[in-house]
Amino acid sequence: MIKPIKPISAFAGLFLLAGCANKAPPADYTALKLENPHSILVVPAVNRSTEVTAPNYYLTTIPVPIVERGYYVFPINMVKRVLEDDGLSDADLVFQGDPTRLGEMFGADAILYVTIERWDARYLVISTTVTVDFSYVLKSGKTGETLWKNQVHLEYTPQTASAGNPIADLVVMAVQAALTKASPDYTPLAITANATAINTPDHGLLPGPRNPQYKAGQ
Amino acid sequence: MIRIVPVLKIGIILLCTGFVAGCAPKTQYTWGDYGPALYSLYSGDKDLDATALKLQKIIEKGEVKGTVPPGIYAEYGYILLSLGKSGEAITFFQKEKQLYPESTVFMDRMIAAAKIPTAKPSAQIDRPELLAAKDSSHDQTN
Repeated sequence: MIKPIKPISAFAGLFLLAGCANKAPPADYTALKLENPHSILVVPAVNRSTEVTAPNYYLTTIPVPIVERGYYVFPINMVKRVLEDDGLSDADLVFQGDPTRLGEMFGADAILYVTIERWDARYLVISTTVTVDFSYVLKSGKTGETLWKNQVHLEYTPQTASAGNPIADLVVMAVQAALTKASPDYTPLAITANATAINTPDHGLLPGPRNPQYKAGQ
Repeated sequence: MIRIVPVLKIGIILLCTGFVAGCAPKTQYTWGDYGPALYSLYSGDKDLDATALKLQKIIEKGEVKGTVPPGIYAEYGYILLSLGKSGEAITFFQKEKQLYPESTVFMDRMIAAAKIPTAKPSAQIDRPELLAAKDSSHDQTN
């Protein structure tokens, strides 16, 4: 829990998180409810960003929120390596391929395709802005039908050296490291973005079968 | 000010769900250093024994409370398989299958693959071209 002693510093970081959770009308959950997937296969992310390391680092952030939402998620690294060994290392090809074949191959009820639209830091004169932007598509492993979609865009502009706030410090460190390191680490921001995409009411994933809030036969 | 408060509350929930350092989130499962372990792997850390050890720790903690997360037994089994320990790998694939029956199809394939002495650690799909789109420029070089 964030310590209540420092409410302002904790929130300062948040204010600078200019986030767009989906501003569209509430999602239509008809297909998702009907299909009622119990297991989700997350395939390696399609990369539209300028950072070649983004897909691998992104992958490390995605299983936890989906499992905690109440779904079985297939082992992330194992799936990635098995796909590679079977000639499916090209994320774009997998994205365009038939989800039902993957459903059959792994016994997966649904396949989650994530596209990394942005994963970068822009260095301006007086400030630096870190941006992540992900779009998500969940397709049925049985019919190939789209069950759920979402998109999240998060920009972070650290304003203080240390706000005494964990996420501000982490992102500041990441940004500073980015100036000297070849592979910037935006995983803390990615974690927040995923949490937003998956848990926000009316746009996130519905609670899954392993979630106490799951409503069977809805 | 009043309008800001609900936004901040959502923010806290999000941050805590985001597993940020300094925040102790309530999770259903015991994840330990899973994210960082994978991160290390993808940062070029070739030490599979170290990765195995990290996964082993997660398993040990999880088994105490019965909260080993989905996929962890299997991930561990896969690392063992990559280290040539197919017998042990099979044990963990079976544990995954037992704890999470959703994994049955995949685990059965991997157990079968692990039993073949010279097989690569893969699901050895017979017809990979079925899985790709029209572009079939991938060569299966074995």
